[in-house]
Amino acid sequence: MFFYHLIDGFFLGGLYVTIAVGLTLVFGVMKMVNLAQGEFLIGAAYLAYTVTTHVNLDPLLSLIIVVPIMFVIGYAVQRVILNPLIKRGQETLLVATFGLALIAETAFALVFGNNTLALNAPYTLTGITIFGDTVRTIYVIAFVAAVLMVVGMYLILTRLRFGKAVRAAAEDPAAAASVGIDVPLVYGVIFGVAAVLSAVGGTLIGLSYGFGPTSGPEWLLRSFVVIVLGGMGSLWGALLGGILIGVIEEVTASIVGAQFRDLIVFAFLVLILIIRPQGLFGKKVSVAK
Amino acid sequence: MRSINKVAWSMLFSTFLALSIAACGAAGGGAASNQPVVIGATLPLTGPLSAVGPILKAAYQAAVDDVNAAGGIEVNGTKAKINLVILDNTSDPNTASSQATTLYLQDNAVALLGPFTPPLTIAVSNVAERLKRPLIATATPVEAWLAGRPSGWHYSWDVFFDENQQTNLVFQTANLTTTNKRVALFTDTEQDGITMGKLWLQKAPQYGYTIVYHAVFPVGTTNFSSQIAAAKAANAQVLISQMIPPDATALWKQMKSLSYNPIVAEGEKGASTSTWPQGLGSVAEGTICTNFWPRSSGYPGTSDLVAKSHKAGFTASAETSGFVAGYSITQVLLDTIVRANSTSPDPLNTAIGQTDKTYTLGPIKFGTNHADSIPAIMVQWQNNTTVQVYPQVSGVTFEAPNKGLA
Repeated sequence: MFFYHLIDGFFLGGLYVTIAVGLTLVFGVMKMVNLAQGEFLIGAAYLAYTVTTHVNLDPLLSLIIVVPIMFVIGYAVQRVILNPLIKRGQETLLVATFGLALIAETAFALVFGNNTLALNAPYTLTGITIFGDTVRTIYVIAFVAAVLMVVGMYLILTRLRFGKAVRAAAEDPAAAASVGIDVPLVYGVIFGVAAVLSAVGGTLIGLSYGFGPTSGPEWLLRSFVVIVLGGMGSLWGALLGGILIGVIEEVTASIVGAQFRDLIVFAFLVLILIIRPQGLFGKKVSVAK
Repeated sequence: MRSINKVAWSMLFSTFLALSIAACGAAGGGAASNQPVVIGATLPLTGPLSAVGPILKAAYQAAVDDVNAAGGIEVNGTKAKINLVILDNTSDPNTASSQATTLYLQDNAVALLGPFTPPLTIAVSNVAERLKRPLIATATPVEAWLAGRPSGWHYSWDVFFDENQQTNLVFQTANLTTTNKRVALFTDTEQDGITMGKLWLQKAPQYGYTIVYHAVFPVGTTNFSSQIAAAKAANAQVLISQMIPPDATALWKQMKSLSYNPIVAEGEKGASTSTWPQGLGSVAEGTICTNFWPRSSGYPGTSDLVAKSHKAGFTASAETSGFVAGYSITQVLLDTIVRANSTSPDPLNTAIGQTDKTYTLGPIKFGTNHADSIPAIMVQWQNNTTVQVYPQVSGVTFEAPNKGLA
């Protein structure tokens, strides 16, 4: 039974990776905490819901439409709202993203109502047997998506010319600008890419559970736990952090009861931060490490 | 200079005194002259409990509109219109508590109508007790509400079924089919989850059932894999749950995907509105949950209120009963104001306690514990609507095994 809980937690962790990877990417490159991350996730879920309702597409296939829209939203938010505020410091950006979160929450309620919605697909109601344990198919899909997202971003950041520009802008924006890198453009594109990654995470949340206008903060908190544990700004850290949180949650719930789940997860987080304040994978704050 | 100061201080004191007297006069929102009588409600119009808030809002407003259309109510020989002030507490007890204070003290509400579910109603009831102003609630199971103030409520009143009936009903309904009588219990850590969890544990042996697994979890839990695995391993053929709609939706989806198919599945609170089949589709089919007010009881005004509920967009029978309850307790409050011929808190509170009349919801008469326990029934989701399955009615069959999870 214990082994089964490990398997369940491992795949659940994949879902947590998909919701956190956008947050860690933004932090790694721009050194800013996006408090509207939860609303990007839920906004993507609403978009997927709208597309599936009107076009009759499978929610995962709806990403073909949702992803470009989310990229444009992310890019526009960074260039129009956040970029002018960068020079005012981290606190201003923090407050700005918090404000964005509140605006988005209200807009979701006005447009979509207050009821809990869910994305429906046949695979959300089926399971796959892995080593004798039945795991929700959607968790397996989420795990595969998580690995693809982390590996894909790692390759983009280390192998592509654009990735090198991103890393340069992340390490030293002034030096990067002096060699001709358009740092605001890089920031805009990265914010757009983070929104795209969140589109995947948000759609998977909508498929796995339900979502409503006020669901964002809950997922923001979980994303934080994942990236703080793994090391803020680290893609591989997000992967490890997500899986660890999934496993701890499942094992905790099975041994001491689900009512103690958050207590133990946060106690573990505090313990790790005491032993290794930079998180498991964080050396310095930087991407692709 | 000294005398100027004295005059200034006297004027300041007089002004303060005058303002205080004015404020005292305003408190309680009297119906003096033709001022409207203010009543208020803080409702979960957004957040995880928002499936029910709009039903109560529509019901309270409909009752007030009907009275206003008839010219208002007569208090102290003067006709006064009713002004209903509704605030959205976002399903948060702290917000509900703060808004209740605002409604009583700033909006001068003479009384409040209740929100929904014990965590919110207890929070608002505590404000009513602190400020000594009346509150009438519904959609709040009685035992959990009473547990919110062991010393007893004095200004708060509740009209709803009690958990004793509610917990009996699931076993009585399960007895309509054949199971191994092994029960998996899923309860959250809110007051009604705690109260009902204890009652189910206590009552199962009386009906020959065994609770073989009990999952306790905080509200907002999304992943139930390990709990479902444990319920499955315990071979529980009866599932009883008490959880808010989003959590219940997540549990049902996960039970389906992990192939856990209990013969009887109860979704208390979670399955009580039409958001249940909307969120789950065919998986919702066969879920049972407690409800009240069988339409067949035929109390006065039934067809009119059903039509009003449908017009407001609440067509499922589980929603219509909520609408009728909300409308009826508003009538109780407005009748009380007329009977007391006063909007002052104490006469009003005393008059509420003397209520003894049949409304569309049924006969309403409060006990010494300030609650009126109305009869509960068990309903089942069949073909996207709820039908009464216990007590049994002609033409309706209890469907088992549960179709949605099979």
